[in-house]
Amino acid sequence: MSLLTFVLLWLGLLALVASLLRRRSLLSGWLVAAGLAWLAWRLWRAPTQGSMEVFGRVVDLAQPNQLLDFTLQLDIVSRSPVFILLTWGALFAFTAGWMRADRVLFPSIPLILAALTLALSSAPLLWAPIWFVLAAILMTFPSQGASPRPARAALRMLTAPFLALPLFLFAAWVLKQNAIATDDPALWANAWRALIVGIGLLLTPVPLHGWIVAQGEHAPPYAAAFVVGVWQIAIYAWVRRLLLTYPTIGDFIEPAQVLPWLAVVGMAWAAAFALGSRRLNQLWGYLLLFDFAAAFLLWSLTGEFGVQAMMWLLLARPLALILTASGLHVLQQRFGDDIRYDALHGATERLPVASFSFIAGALFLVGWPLGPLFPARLSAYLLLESSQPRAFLWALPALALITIAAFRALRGLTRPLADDALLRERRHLLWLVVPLLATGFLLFLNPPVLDVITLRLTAWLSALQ
Amino acid sequence: MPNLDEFFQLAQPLAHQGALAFGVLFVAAMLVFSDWRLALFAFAGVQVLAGVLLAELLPPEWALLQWIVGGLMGVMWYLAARRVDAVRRRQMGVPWWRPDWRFNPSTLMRLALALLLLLVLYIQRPTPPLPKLPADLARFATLLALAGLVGLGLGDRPLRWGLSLAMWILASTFVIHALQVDAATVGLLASLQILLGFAISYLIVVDGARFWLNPEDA
Repeated sequence: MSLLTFVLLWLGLLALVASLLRRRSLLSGWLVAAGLAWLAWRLWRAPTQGSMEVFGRVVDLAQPNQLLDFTLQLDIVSRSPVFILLTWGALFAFTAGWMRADRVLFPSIPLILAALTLALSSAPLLWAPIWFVLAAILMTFPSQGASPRPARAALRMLTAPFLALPLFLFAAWVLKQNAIATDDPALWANAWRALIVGIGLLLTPVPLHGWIVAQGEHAPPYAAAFVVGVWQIAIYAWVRRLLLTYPTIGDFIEPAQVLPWLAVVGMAWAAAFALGSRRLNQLWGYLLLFDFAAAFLLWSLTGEFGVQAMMWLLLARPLALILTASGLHVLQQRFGDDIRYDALHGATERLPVASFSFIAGALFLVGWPLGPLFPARLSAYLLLESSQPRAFLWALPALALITIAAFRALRGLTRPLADDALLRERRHLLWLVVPLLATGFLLFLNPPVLDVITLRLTAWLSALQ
Repeated sequence: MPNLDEFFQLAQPLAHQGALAFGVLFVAAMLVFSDWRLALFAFAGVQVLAGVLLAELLPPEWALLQWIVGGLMGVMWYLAARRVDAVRRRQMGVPWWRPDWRFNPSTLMRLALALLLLLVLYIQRPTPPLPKLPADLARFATLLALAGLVGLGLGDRPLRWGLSLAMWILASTFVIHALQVDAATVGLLASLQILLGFAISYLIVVDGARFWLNPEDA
């Protein structure tokens, strides 16, 4: 049995069990969390080559799988993003189960991770977008949730991968035939352009960001955070590999120059619209966009330091996302799915932990001190200031505006109580928020605590070079 | 009864002559009509036309796969839209046969965009240099791709979104199959379309059910 077969079988089994138990959120969520954590642990402990034994069966780590004309192999380079994806899945399943979140999320998590694992294991590389399309289709289900609601988030989720797919297939065919480079240079150049446009579509920078904001506005909070986060992780790992496999892309575009501007434009856009938000969900959508765009700053760093910094960010990010999503989840349970600021009467009085969780999570996502993302954001801003001062000048007002937007939401949350019937929050949120804050504070004080993990993940991801 | 080859010999010249005209007609109907039945009827027309035209690039058996795939998508969307619409009509006391015309600003905008698309196509007659694709098929594929993009800009209703993405994939089917014809590619593109059909039919129900008196029935 190959490693990929083992991972897919395990994820499929988890999805099946979670689907059967989906009406028992806690059990279903924790089962998925335990299963994913165990799988991540097995991947972590697995040797870099040779084989390992699982349940008495030998798993061959170098064995590829054949599907039609394609080869699929979960090699050492893919193992790094898959490990992070599994960690995210475990954390989100655990917390969403604890908070009794939407039941569609639990069976969806392993299935989405399976599709993304297939994308990251795909060869030829340019056929991977087919698996990204499959992942996007699977992501529509948690985005839509168990109860009827506008399908905007789910529909927009589908757009970018579907639009990008033909461009990659076209590029795959042309680049496979080296003779075209001399026979038809125009076609050859067009294939590279198609490849770059396809990558651009999958990165979904502004103005293709609509799906991220729609996730925040219409999808259940945990599903929105999970879907946006794992999409970026998978695309990061895949595009990085693509750039190394096809260095000619560098003749057409310089990622280290473009990515900071994509980041800054996305951050500025998110901040400007967040400031105009009148609803908590809208603010959440723009916070997700800000976080998504800000990740491009570290992404633009090349070399091993850049990869390690990105690994650190990807490992720490769920803490801030889960904190914000948990607060919003509880607020939505009391005030409804679509919360206007002027309807938030008595939130801090009756739901103090949820209100605090949302605002603290929002500020930590932006990168304020005491939160887990502060070290990564600070180093990204400092590097931006030294490498691209003009882009840095755009980032600063964006940071200020989105902070003001968070304080506007806080003002809404502190409105006096208008309805005595508003129920108090349950105490179990506190049991989630305190460990999240403590872990985030630990990462703020001592970022190298994650070095044990990030160093190995960086080594795995850099094995291609 | 003609066999498959004879049928294609008869149908292909007709389809080639009328590809763009019928394509424009069906695509405009798909984009403009609010009534899901008319939109799905136009979708079926596009799929039939595409199946016949694809026979120039693929073996007939594989080209007809497009009919099967389009048919499956159409059936899924028909059942989903009918379920939502039947409950809505029962709630509002509207008989099933009355078309769902909605002449609001949104309809006018769709009409304006569809007319603009037709005008651009008529004036420019764009034939992008798609490798190995005959000019008339390239023009047809361009029409489908543009229609897909225009449709995506026309709001967030699941059926229209599905039709638009299906048009985009159908357009790319022509481009890809002009370059490579193998079972894996044909099968993967067909599977993706069926998966899209499945996801969209689910979204049609859960999106439409929020207007029901008992949304949980969805």
